[in-house]
Order: sequence, then structure tokens, then C-alpha cells
Amino acid sequence: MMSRTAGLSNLLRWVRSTGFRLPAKRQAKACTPNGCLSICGRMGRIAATRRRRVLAGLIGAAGLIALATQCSQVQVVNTLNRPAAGLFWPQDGSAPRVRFLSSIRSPDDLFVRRNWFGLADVVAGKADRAFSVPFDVHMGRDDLLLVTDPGKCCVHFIDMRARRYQAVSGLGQATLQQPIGVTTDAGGLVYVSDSLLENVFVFDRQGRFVRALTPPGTLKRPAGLAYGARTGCLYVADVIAHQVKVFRPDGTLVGAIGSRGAGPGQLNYPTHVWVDDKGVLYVTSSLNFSISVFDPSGNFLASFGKEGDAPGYFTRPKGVATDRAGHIYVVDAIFDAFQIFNDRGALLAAVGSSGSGDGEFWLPAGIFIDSRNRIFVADQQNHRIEVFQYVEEATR
Amino acid sequence: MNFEAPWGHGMRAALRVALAAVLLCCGRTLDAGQARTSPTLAMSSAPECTQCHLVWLDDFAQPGVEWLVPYQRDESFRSGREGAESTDLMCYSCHDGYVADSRARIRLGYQHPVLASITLLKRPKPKGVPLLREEEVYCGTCHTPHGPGPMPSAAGRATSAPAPTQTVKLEGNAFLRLAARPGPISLCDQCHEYTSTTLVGNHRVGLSDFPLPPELARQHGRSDTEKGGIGCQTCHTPHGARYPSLTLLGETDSSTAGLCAVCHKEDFSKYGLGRFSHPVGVSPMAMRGPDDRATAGPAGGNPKPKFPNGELVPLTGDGRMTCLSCHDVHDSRVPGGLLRQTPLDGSLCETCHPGLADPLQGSGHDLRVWAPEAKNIAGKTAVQSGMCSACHIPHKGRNVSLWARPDRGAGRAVDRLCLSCHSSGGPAVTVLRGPMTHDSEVNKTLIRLRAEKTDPSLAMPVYDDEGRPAERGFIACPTCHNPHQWAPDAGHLPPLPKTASTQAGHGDSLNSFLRRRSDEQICKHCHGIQSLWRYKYFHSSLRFEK
Repeated sequence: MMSRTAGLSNLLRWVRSTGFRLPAKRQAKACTPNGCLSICGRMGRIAATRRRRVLAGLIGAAGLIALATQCSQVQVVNTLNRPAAGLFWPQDGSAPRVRFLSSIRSPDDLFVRRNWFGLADVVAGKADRAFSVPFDVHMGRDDLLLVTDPGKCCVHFIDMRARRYQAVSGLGQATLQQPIGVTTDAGGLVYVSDSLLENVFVFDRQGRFVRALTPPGTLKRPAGLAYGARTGCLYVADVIAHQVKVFRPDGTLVGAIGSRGAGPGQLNYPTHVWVDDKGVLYVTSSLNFSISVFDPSGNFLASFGKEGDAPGYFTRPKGVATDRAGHIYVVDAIFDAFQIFNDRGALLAAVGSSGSGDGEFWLPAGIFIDSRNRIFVADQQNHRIEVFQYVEEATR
Repeated sequence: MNFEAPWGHGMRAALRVALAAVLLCCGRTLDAGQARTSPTLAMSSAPECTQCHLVWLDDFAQPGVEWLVPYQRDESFRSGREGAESTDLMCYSCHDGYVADSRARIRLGYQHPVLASITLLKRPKPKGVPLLREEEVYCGTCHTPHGPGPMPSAAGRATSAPAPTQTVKLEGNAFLRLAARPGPISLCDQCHEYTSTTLVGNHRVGLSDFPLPPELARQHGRSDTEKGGIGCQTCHTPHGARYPSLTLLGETDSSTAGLCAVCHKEDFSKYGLGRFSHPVGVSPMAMRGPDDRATAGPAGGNPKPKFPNGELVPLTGDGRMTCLSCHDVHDSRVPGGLLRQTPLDGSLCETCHPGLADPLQGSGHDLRVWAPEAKNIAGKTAVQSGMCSACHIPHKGRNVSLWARPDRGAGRAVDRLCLSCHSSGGPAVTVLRGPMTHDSEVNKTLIRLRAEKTDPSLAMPVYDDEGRPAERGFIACPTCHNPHQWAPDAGHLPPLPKTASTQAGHGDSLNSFLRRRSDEQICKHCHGIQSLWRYKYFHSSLRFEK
């Protein structure tokens, strides 16, 4: 990464190389003590004017290049919205249901606008924006893509509509230590869980720290987060407490769901949570190797899954999500894939394999499905977010 | 709602790969009956086991199960292959932040070497920990999710490996196979032999009531026990260390002694550094002698000084001294003090202070010869502590000269150094300052002017109130005498002849630790050419007999 000092020195060196010299202008004035331009001063002024024209031309060319770059970045966005042909699942020749869209390794893979059309990067040095260990992903309102990154101890705020990016880690006097889960509420506030700081922190859309959600000691190791629009509550998976704790957005603890165990409604190291449009809560009970389902009131409905390496089993279940059609998606970090189940827990398909190519994973973790059925999967060890598209039957 | 193809080739291939890796590398007998009857750490289909040992699931133990790859009936623990269960990815599949996440410490900073051959240590292979390919250290050498206990064998029974007698609390101990504390049955001792019983060669450990300094606690340092005490992890950390020696702090952090000074503070009992201690963080090249003679550094300016045995003096990358330049905390061959060289003959000091110790051998300032019973402020004689340490000690010195003799007289600071011996009650009582002594209150400007007219390297030093050589100051004993030089004409001091007149260390105007010969130079230096005849008989014995 270019340092800021190096960037500035490069810029100054480049300006000097154009021949732009302030002393030349002063020399022209100094040579006119009686108000008349001497031959020397006139020659100096002509030379200075020529230099300024050259400099203006170069600046204009740089602006055109930056604009062209912006246009090319817009093309990347279109690629994200418009599925590219190539990878589909299932791959046995049957009708495709999941389509690979894109991989996001840094905000620069999107259309994120750089300040001053990239001139700031030239001056200050290009910042390292690449994801380190993307852990959880969430697409908030107005295309605000949020990615937790424990490797960089920050949350990547990628405002795809305003084309702005920032890495958020500040908590007032402190900083994030291990951001894990992320979600947003109906008002657009961003919630980030930090498993080391044992709390959930609230940010506004611009990444400004608002407050800590709960008093210290309320949570033991918060991990997965989900917001239930129907109930207006925030669901926090407290891993060590083996519970899902329910809060109002103001931090009031409403209740806790589950207790440690393997029975119905019991949880064993819950890591991820998801709330669908109907308010149904899905919880990944990692060491029960199952997905537990609760109604909006917290009553146990069902669970599915068992440990094993056969299709439909779980070995290391991680993120869970549902699409608009009600299918349940469960990421498995050992399988390097996500499996798709129907609402009764029957396996429908599996997507992904081990590797670093398109549609492949290396220890995937979080998953998010937006209202357009785009599937975002945090691919930890590949340092990227992979985006898929659920292909509805009518659009096939 | 319904998918037409409930199962994709991609997932199938992924599972084939995963299963193949597990089967190839796991290496466990799949006899279900044996698994149920085995003792501790035997194969089990309990979720706690199968979450890593996937092939231990009951489904695989059913008759008629078809394997995707042929099962190999040797055991990974003994076969020397790193099983799929012990790969870092298997650990990270859970320890990725939801349970705990130590990846930052694994990836950042200096790490204990892995996949390194144990034969480099030139000692017998450890018997209490497994090795990869029978000689390489790997993650499983130190870590196990099973906690301390006998290792499983191919038959599922405990082996004869030494069972740890120390209780290891797994939480917070990173699932270590044995306790990472010094002792005969410890994890570190398996490869790094620690002879804690002799206290020779290694830093002292134990001291169960010794609290962990907060500076080390902030760097993930650990006490030997829960109550306190010094252990391996008090100073070292195997992962995420900031320094190549896997230490928690550098030797010269914060322009002090760094890691050592965290415990060896000024007032740390008899092991404290004291107010006046030998400097660290300085270059031996910038060293100046105790007198005002500018010295060009060790061995005439050698930036890489060597001990007399040929070993290089350990310095920092930019050539500065650390505590480890003199001390070897793990491989010292010198009893007491963990020193790299013996201090008894002055060779340790002579490495960086050439020409100061050798000329003293056998001279009047070699207290091993002339005052073998006299003790320094540390309570040791010159025979016990060495020739240099009779007058200078590197730690807990009395002043900036690191003076080690007890204070006996009154006067200026620099004079009191000499008076600590050359006074009544001192070991040099036969060589006392007489009643006719050069006045110290002189025109200092005149002295400096006279000195500057001559060769600066031969200037007669004057001293400030604290006893340090100064541009302007007082005339003191070392102004005329150089305690490290018996005779000015001899670059190397010959042994003092034991004649009747020199038995007590007396000399004459040609030696007597004078900086210059008194017959023609030493007076002239300050008093001009006229002093040659004016003070001609000043040092004559006839003058004192009158």
C-alpha cells in the first residue's frame, strides 16, 4: 500500500516535472519596475502561460481517466444485478435454481466512489480496502452492504447507492475487537455484535457510533444477529449462554429463548439466527448439528438436521437464511457449501464445493438473502463475499 | 417449491473429498465393539468426538457400509501423518469467533516453528508428545482437544508415555497436551531441556508467590501457577510474539532493559538493578573509558566484539547492547549471575573495555592479590566476584562509576572513590593521602587552557561534583592518577616486582598509577616549563624526611 507521504511526494514530483514554477512568475513581475515588461519578463510570462496550459491539460486528462474509471465500475454493479451466464446449480442438467453472480473481495469490486474521482488515492495513497476475514454479511436498506471483518477488527460499510465506503471500528473511546454478527433495524440503524467485548453496538447509516445496546454483563458471547420486522425486536445469539436473547432496539431485554440441551427447543452453542418475513426465528444450534425453528412468540416449532457427512446432514452448520419462497439455506463450513431445505427440512439442493474459484468456498460462515433473492455468503478463507441468485420458477 | 434435482454433483464431490481426507488421514479402527469398551480417549460416536472424528459416527460402523476409498488400518497418531482432525482448518471451523478466535495470534507476529525437525536441537526425541514423520514438530505436538492424559494407542489403550502429574486447566491453556511450565514433565521440557534443580544455565523459575507483572499480563504473559510464579510463558509466548525469541517484550524496550527490567526493577530485592546500573541500549562503539580518555570502542573499533572464547557478543540489529550481551538466561556456563563469560579474570569486561583490565593483573589495584579479604558492597571478595567487580559492579553501583567499594572518607565524590580504600580502615591503609596534598581548588580555566594547548588525548581530566569527567571542574585524584594504568610509559603493565619497597604497592614517580611521568611531564602539563625546576624535589623522599 502506498503511504500517504509517498503519494504526496509522487504528486509533487509530477507537478514539478510539468515545469510549473512559481518563481518564474515572480521573476516576470520583478523585471517590471517601471510598469513596462522587459524582454526577459515577457519571455518568462510566455513560458509560464505555456506551462499552465500544459498543466491544465494534464489535469483535464486525469479527470477524464477518472470518469472513465467510474463508468467501468458501474459496469461491475450491472454485473451484480444482471446474472452472468455460466455457473448454475444443480449441476446435473436439471433446471437451474441457483446462479452464481459475482465475488466481492473489496469495495473496489463494486462501484464505490473514491473521493475526488480517485485523486485522493493518488495524493494520499490507495487505502487497503480488501476484506481480510469476512465473517458475516448483511444488505441493509437502500443497498447498504455491511460486512464484519474480525481480521481487520472493523465493519465494512459499503453504501452502494451513495457510492461511499468506510471501514468502521470506532466505539467512542474504544474500538471493535472481534466484530461477528451484523444486522439493521427498520430505522436503518446498524447493529454489530462483538464477541470479545461481549456486547452489541449500534451505529447509524454513516457509520457513526451511537451507543452500546446493553449494559455490561447482559451478554456473554454475542454472535449472530437478526432483526424481526414483524416483532420489532433484535435477536442475539448468546453462544456461551446457549440462548437467543431478544431485545428491543432501545436495549431492553424482552426475553430469552432456549436453554442448553439437545431436546426440543433446546440449544447447544447457538451461533447464527435469522428471522423471516413472518417473524419465524431460525437458530443454528451448532453442536446439536441442527436448525431450530421458533414462532414469533419464541415457542418451539421444529428442528431438522443431524450430524453426518451425507447430504442433508450437518458437520459444521453456520449461517442460516431464508429466501422469499421460504426455502431454508444453511451454510456448512466443513462441506464448503450451503444446503437448501424446504420448510419441512427436506433437502432440496446443495451449492458449492471446496476451493477458491467461482462458486467454491473455504470455511464459509455467514449468509444473507435480500428481498431480491440475492444470496450473499461470507467466504472467510477466500477473503471474499460470494453472491448468488435464487432463480424463481417463473423466471427460468 | 420442489427442486427437480435434490442433490448436486458439487456437494457430492465436496463430500467425497472431505470423506476421503478423513478416511485417509484419520486412521482409527472402526470396530464398534472395541470402541465401546475402550478406556478413556477411546473411539466414540458421541457428538463431542464425532464433530472432529467424523468417521466415528455410528453410520460408518454399520455392517455393509461401502467406503468411498479403501480404509487404511494404521493409526494416524503413529503413522506420522497429520490427520484431518488435527489440521488448523478443523480447529477454525469452530474457533472462528463464535466460540473463540485465536487466528490473530497465529497469523501475526513471531511463531513457534512448526514442521521443523527436532533433530536440530541435538537431543533425544521427546517421548511425551507426538511428532510428524517421527521428527517434526507440528500443531498436534503441543495441542490436543483431549486435554492432558495418556495418549491413545492403536489398540485404543493408554501407552506407557509419561502421564502428567500436573493438573492442567484446559480453559485458557489452549488445549495444551501437557502443562507449559518448567519441570520434568512439562510441555516445553519435552524439547527444551530445563535443569531447574541446579539453577546453573537457566533463569530461575518457580517462586510461586511471585506476582505476574502487569506489563507482562498485558502481553498475554502467564504465571507458572494460578497463584503466581515464574514459568516459561512468563517471558515467552509461542504465538503472536513481538520478537524473534518469542519473548513478550524486547530486551531494550522503552530505552531500558525491557523484558528483564519488568521484574528486575531498582528495588527488586537483591536481584534489582539499583539506581546505578550498567547501561543497555548503547553501542559498545560509543563506549568511553572511566577516565576521560576517548577510546575507540572494543578492540579498536570493532563493531562486532567477541568474547575471548571467540563467541560474538550478542547485540541488537543496530549494534546496541542488551542485557543478553552479558547474560545468557538459558545456556549460561558460568555459575551465578547467568553470565556468558567468567568475571573473575576480567575477560567479560575486557571484551568491551579493552586495555582496562589486563594491565591490572597483579598490580596494586588487583585486590585478588593485595586485599583478598576485602569485600565490596555486595559482600563479596575480589576472589569471589572477580578483579573488576572488586571496585565496579554492573548493577546496584553506588554512583555513575558503578563503584563497589564501601564509602569511607569525606570529600568530593570522585576522591571518595579512592578514599574508600586509601583511608584508615581501608585495604590500602599503607598508601594514604599525605598531609601535603595538591590543592583541588585551582583556577580551572587555567587548567583547561593549559590542557588544550597540549595533545587533547593527553589532557588531565577534571571532575564535576558527581564525579564525572567534565570540561571544567575540580582536580581530584584521577586527575593525576589513572587507576587502570600502573605506569605511563608501559602500555602493558608488567607484574609488580615484589621487592621490599613494592610489597605494599608503593611505586615511584615513574609509575604509581600516574598518568605521566612526574619527573618531567605531569607538573609541566599544568604549571608550565618552569615547574621542571620549581618542583624538582617535590616528590623526592628527602623532602618528606625533613
